[in-house]
Amino acid sequence: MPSRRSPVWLIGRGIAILLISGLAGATLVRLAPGFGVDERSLDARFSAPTLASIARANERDRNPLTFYLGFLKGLFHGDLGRSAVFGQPVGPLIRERAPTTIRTVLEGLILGWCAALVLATAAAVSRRAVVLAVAMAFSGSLLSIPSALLATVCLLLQLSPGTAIAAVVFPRAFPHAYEQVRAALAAPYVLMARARGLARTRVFLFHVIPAALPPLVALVGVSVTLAFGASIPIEALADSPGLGQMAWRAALGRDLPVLVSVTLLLTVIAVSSNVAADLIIMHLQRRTA
Amino acid sequence: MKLLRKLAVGFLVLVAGLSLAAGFVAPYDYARQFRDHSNAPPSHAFPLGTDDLGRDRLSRLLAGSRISLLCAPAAAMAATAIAAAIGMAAGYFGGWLDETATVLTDLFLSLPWLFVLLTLRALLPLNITPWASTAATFLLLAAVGWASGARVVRASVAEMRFAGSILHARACGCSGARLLCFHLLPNLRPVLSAQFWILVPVFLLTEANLGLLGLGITEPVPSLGNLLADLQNYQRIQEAPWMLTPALLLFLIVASLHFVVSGRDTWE
Amino acid sequence: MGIARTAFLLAGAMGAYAQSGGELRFCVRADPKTLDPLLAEEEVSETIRYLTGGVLIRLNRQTQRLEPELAASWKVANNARQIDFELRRNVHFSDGAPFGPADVVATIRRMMSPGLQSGIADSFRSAGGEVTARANGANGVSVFFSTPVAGLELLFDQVAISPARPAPPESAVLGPFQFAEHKSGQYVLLKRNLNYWKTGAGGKRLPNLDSIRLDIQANREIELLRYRRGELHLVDKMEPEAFERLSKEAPASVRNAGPSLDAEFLWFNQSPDAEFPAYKKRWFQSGLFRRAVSAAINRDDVIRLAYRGYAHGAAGPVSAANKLWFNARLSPPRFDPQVALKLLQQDGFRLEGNSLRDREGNAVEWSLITNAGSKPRAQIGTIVQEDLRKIGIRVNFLPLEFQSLIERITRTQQYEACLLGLTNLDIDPNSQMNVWMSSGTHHAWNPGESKPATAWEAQIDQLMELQHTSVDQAARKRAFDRIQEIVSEEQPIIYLVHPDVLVAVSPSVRDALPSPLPPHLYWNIENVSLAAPAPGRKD
Repeated sequence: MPSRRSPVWLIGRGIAILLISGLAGATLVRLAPGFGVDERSLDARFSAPTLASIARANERDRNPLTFYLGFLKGLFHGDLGRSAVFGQPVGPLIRERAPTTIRTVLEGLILGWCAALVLATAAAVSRRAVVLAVAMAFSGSLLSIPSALLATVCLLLQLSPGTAIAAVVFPRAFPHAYEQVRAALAAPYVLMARARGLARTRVFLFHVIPAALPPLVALVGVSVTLAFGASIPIEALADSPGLGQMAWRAALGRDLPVLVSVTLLLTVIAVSSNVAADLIIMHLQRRTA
Repeated sequence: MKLLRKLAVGFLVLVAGLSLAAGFVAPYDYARQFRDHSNAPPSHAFPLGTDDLGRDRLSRLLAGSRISLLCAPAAAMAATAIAAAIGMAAGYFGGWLDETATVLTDLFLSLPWLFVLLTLRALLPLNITPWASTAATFLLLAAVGWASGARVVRASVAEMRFAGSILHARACGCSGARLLCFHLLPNLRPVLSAQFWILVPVFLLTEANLGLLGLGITEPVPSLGNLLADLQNYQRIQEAPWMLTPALLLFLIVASLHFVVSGRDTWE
Repeated sequence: MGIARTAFLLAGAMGAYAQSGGELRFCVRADPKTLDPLLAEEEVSETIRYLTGGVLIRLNRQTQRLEPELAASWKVANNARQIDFELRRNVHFSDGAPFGPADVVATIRRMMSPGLQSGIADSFRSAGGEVTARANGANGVSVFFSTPVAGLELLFDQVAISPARPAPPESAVLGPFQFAEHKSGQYVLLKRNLNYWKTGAGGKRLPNLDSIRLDIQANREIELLRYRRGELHLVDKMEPEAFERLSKEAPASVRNAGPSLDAEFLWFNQSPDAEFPAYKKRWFQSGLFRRAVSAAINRDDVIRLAYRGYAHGAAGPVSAANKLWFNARLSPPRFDPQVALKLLQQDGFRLEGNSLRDREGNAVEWSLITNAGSKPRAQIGTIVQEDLRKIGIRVNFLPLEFQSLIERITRTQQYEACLLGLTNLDIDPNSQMNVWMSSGTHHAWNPGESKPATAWEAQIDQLMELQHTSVDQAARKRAFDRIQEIVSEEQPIIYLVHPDVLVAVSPSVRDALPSPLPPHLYWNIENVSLAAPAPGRKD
C-alpha cells in the first residue's frame, strides 16, 4: 500500500472522492422532490396516454446507481447524456458554455489576486498603519457582502460578472498576501541584500517575490475552487451564459445528466487544485528539509 | 484597532438588543399591511417607508434581524458540534476512521451546497408554521456547513494527541471517551470558538444568498435574506434608496463580526 | 412641379427607408427545447415555430377571425368530421423546393404518429379521435376526424407544415423567417426566408425585416436596461413595476394591450386520495366554504398592490380579451368579509375569538402552495393570507420550487390548496376539455374522476360534450356560458385576476400591433419593419 503522504495515494484518494461525489450528486438529484416530473404535465393539451408515456421515459433514470454506471460508461465514450432542460446533448452544451465561465473565472481570479498583491505590497512596503487599515477595511467590507448581492451590485454598476468573482476572491487572498510579503520583507537575507546596497526594486523582484510566492501559489488552488463555486449564483443572477447559469437552471429543472456532469467537473477542479496544493507543499517541504 | 473592536462589539450588542426587543421597539407588527400606504417613502409614521404591500419596513427589518441573529448562531453552534464530533473522532482514532472522515469532509466541501440546500428544503413538510420552516432552513445550513470546521478540528486533535498533558492522562489510564471529553475538549475550546465565530457570518451570508435567489425563509416572516430579495428590482434603488437598509444592516453586522474575530483564517 | 417632385422623391425615400430590412431584437426567457415545430410546447420553441412555420390557416390576433395562409380556402364538411383545403399555388419552401399536398399529408401523419408525443397532436385527438389526411387532386387536401369537431379550423393555426421528404424540420420552412443559429444561453438568430410567398403593398416581397435576433435573457431587469439603452426593440409581458417606470420615462413606447387570456387562481384539493384529515376534505368539498373564501379575498387590493392596477378582476376562466367566448353577464365575486362569515356560519363554522372553527371544533388552517420566483404570485399569496386571517382562517403560505410544486399537484396530491396562473394560448373552449371534463387529467381540484363526483360536475361534463360536438356556434356559446356560470357558483377554482398584457415597442418599430392574444407583439411579423437602422450594440 502506498504511504498516506505519497503522490500516488493523494491522487488515488482524489479519484475516489471524484467518483463518490458523482454518485452522491446523482443520488441527491434523484431524491429531490420533483425528480422526473415534466413541465408538460401542466399543459392541458396533453392527453393521459401521452403524459404516461412521457413519465415512462423519465422513469429510466430512477435508480441512481444504474444511472451513474451508465453515465460513467457513456463518459468513457465521450457521451455525457442529453439534457432535458436544454434539449441538447450535455457534452456540446458544456463545450459551448465553458469558455464564458472560464473567461469570467479567470478575469475574477486575475483581477482579485492582482488587487490583493498590489494592495498587500503597498501596505507592507509603506508600513503605514493608515494604508493597512484602509486595505483591511476594504477587504473586510467585501467579505461582509453576500456574493449574490455582489452580483446585483455589479449589474447595477454595469460591471462584468468577473468583477463580482474578483470581489469574492480578493478579501480572502489579501490577508495571506499581506502576511507573506511582510514576512518576506523582514527575512534576514532580504535585510542583508538591502544592507549590501541592492536597489529596492531589485530586492523586491528577486528576493521578496520569490520568497512570498510559493505559499501563495498553493492558495491560488483553493481560490480556483472558490471562484468556480461562486460562479453559480453570480452567473445565475447576472444572466451570464456560462456553466454556472447552466448548473442553476439544471438544478431547478432536476436535470440529472447536467447536474452529475457539473458535480464531477466541480469536484475535479476542487480535488485537482487540492492535490496540486498538497504536491506543491510537499515539494516545498522537501526543499526546505 | 482595539477601539474599533469595542465599537463593533457595541454595535452588535445594540442590534441584538434592539431586535430581541423588536416586539416592544417595532412600531407595528411585521406582517400588518397598510394597503393604502404601499411603497410609501420614509415618514414619521413609517421611518423606513413601506413595501409593496404596505408593511412597515422598519418593523420588518427589526423582526428580520432578530430571526437572523438568533438562528445563525444556533446553526453555527450545531455545525460546530458536528464538526467537533467528526473532527475529534477522526483526529484521535486516526486510521480508517480518519480516512473515511477526511473523504466525507472533502466530499461535503466539493458538493454544490446550493443544490444540497435546495433539495433538503424541498423535502420539508408543508403544514409547518413559518417559524418552524425558518428554524429548519437554518438547521439545514448547519447540516451542510460543518465540513470545513471538521477539517480544522481534526488537524488540531491529531497534533494534540501527542501533547504532554494528553500522554500523561493516557499513562494514568484515562479511557477514550473520558479522555476526549475531559482532556481534549477543553483544550479544543479556542479552536471550536473560532469555528463558531467564523460560521456565524457565513450562515448569515448564506441565508442572504438564498433569500436573494428566492429560496430562503418564506413570507410573511421577514429575514435579512428575504428582505434583500427586494433589491432584485435594482433599478428601483435610485428612486427608493431606503430599500438598501437591510443590505446595509447585514453588511454592518457581518463586518462587525469579522472585526470581533479578526485574525482568524479567512479561507475556512 | 419642383415641390411636387421633391415631395414624391422624399416619400419614395422614406418608403425605402421604412423597408430597409434590419434586425429586430427582443428577448426570450430560455433556450428553445426543440426546433421541431410539432414538438414546440414551451414559450421559446413556440415563438420560433410562429416566426418560422407556415400554417394553413392563421387566427388574426386582432380581429380574432381566421384568415387563409397556405390554404387559399377551406370548407368544413361531413357534419364537422372533415375539412377540405385548397392550397395556395406557387409556394416554395425556404430551400426552394415546391410546396404541395404531399407535404401537408406528411406533416399530419408525422404529427399523429404516437411515438412523437406531440401536444398539438393531442389537441387534435381530444377534439376528434384519430385524424387522417389525404391529398385531393393537385392542390387539395382533406383531413378527416372520427367524430364531429366544433371549430376544428382553429386547430390548424398551430400546425407548421414541414416538407414530405426526409429532412430536419427546421431546414426547410414556409414561414417568413428561417432558423440560422443558436448559441446556448446567448441567442437564437432567424434569417429572412427569401422564398416566403407573401407580398406586401406594391408587390414587395415580405417579410420586411432581414433577421430577428432572440436574445436569451432570463433577468427582466437587464432586459429593461437593454431596452432603455436601445439594444432591444420589443419587450413582451412586462412586469407592472417596470411598465410603470418606463411609462413615466417614455410614455410613447409602452402599451397596455388590455386583459390577457391568462388568469391567476387558486383551488382546493378535493381529491379523495389526498393525504390530509377527512375534516379538511369536508371543508374543501363544500361549495359554501369555497364561496366564502372567494368572497373574503379582496381582488381590488390584489390588482392595486400586486399588479399596480394593471389587471382585471376575474369572474371565471375566460377574460374579456376572448371576444367570442367571454360571458359578459358574470362579474367577479364582490369582496365582503361579512358575507363570507355568513356563508361559513350556514356551513356550520363559527368564529371563536380570532380563530374560525368547524362543526367539530377544528381550527380552520390550511397550506397554500405556489411556485417560488414569481413576485406577483408571492404578493397575492400574502394578500390572501392576510384577508383570510381577518375571518379567522389561518393560511400557511409556501412558495415551492416549480418542479416540486408540479409533482405535488399532478402526481402525489400532497397539497391542500394551490395558487397558480396558467397561460392560455387558445381561445376555443375545446382546448380546455382536459380541464373541465371530470375525467380530465387537468381537472385541477380532483383529476381523473372515474365518474363525476358531484351533480354540477356531471352537468359541466354534459355541457362540455355538447359544445365540443355541436356545429351550431350559438349552441356552443350557450353551453360554455352556462359552464362559466356553474364555475362561478361553485368556485371549484377561485379565479382572482386576469393580468393585463403590458408591452414596450421601440418607436423605430413600424406596424407592430400589440394584441392581448399570444404572441402579443409579433403576430403580424411579416408586416413589421424598422424605421431606422438597427440600434447599435455595445458588445
